[in-house]
Amino acid sequence: MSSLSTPLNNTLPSPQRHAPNEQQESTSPLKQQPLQPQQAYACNQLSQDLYAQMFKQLDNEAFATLVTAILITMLFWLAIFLTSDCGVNFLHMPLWFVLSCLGGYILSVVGVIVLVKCFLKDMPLHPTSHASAENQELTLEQEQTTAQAQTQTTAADHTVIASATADPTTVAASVDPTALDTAAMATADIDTAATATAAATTVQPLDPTSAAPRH
Amino acid sequence: MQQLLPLVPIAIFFVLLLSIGYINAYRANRARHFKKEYFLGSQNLGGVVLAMTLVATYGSVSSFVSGPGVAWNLGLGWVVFAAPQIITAFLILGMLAKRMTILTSRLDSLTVIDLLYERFHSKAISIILALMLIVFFIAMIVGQFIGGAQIFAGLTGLDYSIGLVIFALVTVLYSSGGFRAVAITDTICAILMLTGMGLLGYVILKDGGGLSQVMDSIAQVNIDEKTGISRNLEFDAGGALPLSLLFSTWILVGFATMGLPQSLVRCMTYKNSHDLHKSMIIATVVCGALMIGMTMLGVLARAVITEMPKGGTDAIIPTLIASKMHPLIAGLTILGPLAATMSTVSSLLIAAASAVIRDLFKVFATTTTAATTAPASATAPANNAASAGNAAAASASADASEDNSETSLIQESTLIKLSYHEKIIIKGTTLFMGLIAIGLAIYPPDIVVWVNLFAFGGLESAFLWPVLLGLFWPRFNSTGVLCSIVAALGTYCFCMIYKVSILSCHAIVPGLLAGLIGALLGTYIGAKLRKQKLDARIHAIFFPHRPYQP
Repeated sequence: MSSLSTPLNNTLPSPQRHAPNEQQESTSPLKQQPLQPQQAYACNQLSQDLYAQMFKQLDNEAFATLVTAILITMLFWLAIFLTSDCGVNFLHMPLWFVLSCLGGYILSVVGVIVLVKCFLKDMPLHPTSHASAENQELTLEQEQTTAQAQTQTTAADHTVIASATADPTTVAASVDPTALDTAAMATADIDTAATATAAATTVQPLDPTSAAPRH
Repeated sequence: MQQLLPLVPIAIFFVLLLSIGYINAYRANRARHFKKEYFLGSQNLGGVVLAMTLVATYGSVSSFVSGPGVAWNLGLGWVVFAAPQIITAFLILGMLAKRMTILTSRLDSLTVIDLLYERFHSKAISIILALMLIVFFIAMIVGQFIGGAQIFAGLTGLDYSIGLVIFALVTVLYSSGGFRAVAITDTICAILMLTGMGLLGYVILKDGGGLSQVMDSIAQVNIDEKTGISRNLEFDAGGALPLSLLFSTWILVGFATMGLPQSLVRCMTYKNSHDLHKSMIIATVVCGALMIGMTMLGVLARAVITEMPKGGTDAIIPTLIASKMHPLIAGLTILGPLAATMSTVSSLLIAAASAVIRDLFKVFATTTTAATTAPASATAPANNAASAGNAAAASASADASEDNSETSLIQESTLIKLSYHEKIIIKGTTLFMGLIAIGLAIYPPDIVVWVNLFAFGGLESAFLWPVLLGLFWPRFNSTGVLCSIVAALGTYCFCMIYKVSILSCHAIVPGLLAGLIGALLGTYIGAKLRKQKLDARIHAIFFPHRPYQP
């Protein structure tokens, strides 16, 4: 796959310091252009590759975090061993204490800032459909709309959607390529996921306001 | 009137906590996915709240009362003992938070044990971990209640039992409002802890005549005959804190805190990576300030409280508050230790309730679920996927059709709508467990006090390797997990009970070493003798970036 060689920064949503919600960003391009069933498999593969790249990045971040913690620990003890016997005071306190404990505290704050700025990257953390809909409060009207949308779904589509989730917001979110991957996993059939996409594009116009995730 | 003044800020504080609990309970009731809102705050916490709830959960009555009391006695050496906590906050968030959030979202997990169940698919592991979590958490809650109530009763003049019931009941009631209530109140508690620390610092420096005079006073006490300087100014407290013990605290309250389930669950609750990064910085600033700051204040208090109070070192901070502060300011300052206690209790309580409702229930319900839904999963056409997808995804899909327990995920995802009675049962479980803890705190059995001594290290021993190796090592299997838990917990408890000290290290060090050896041996045994291997579907979810080796 070509996406395997694509740098993570180019394939993942670019770091946005003021991006409050990742689900909205990830679904928006696909809302504009509904997927064809043939495209579903490609999206699934892309998603799986992206998913793997995310985990590579997570490994790097975990390693960088661990190294930062170990460095702080080593410098802490180095400060104690080098200065505990010198008998010098600083700010009316022993130098070893100022350097190790107070200096270690400042070092940890500086260390974590460097870690966050240089080694950690923003990435979408909720690849499934549920996360975007967890905290939504259902009004009676929405419940009715949901029931209406579900009853108008074809029997074949209904089987797929019901097996993935009964949550109506999933229908909209399943247009998201990352959600497609989940649908394929859950239903054990990539072709079925493609059908789910087709179903989603069919159902979505019925009531886009009720199906779109609220944030 | 003077006696009533300290009660004013406390009363306002309690009313505020109860209001937040009520509002968030109402909000949880209206949430689409009640359980996810109730146990994880819908994975929607902001960076500040995440940082504060992590720190407030970690900071307990020990951090605010017992620790500074010991520091009063031992001096700056105890600050060295507490210093490893400067890495605690960012370490767990940086190493595990993103991975756990992605997996939680993908698998619809609600708890740490839930996530481990999806990784190992072992009921035995889930049951053992859930039971240990419940037992240790209840013991810790009882310990926190007793410590908090002693401060509360001592400073307000109320009877101990009445003080305990009021203080504990408020905590239990607002905790039953759900995780979001706990997180928001934790944030308030953390701010009050910082305020309390600031007020204490001001009083100590003011009464001690400034920092230079305070340090001069400390230099005159507890003189070490060998060196001629005060033991309170030596990093090993004149030999009272052996070097190996100080080293091992970097494991106990530093690196191994990645195994604390009450902290781990917070790695699954935030909104996005930007908030996580923000919270890493804030939590490091606040956690270091509180842990080093409070311990250092205990050292400096030696210049103000010159004689050991009757209540021992635990009475140093309460004595300072009661004797050196205006009643109204004392009432405000006491909110610090009370907030530290209540925030810890609330977090433990909601996590213990989730272990009962989610983990134990899920394990016992899975058999029925799998049996009833097996035909549905068997009908899934797996061959199409095998011909189309890549190797991992294809075999993953094929295995999914054979794996009955997979259907539990689907079932679970469809069961997000709960009836009114089911919601009441979930909230009632939290409330009921809290009431049990209150009862145990009023009449504390020896066994609970005893278990409390093991709780912190015990949880780390049991959870650290299953979580770390489970998320980073694909070959780790369920036999390895069980061997690790038994070896780590067994060694830790043995060393604690029989006071076995290897090179003066804390018992957590041999415990975790044994756990690691158990994990490696168990994994080897599991792979060779029991033919355990990682399911391709699970591999594709947990280790998508590693090559799959069937």
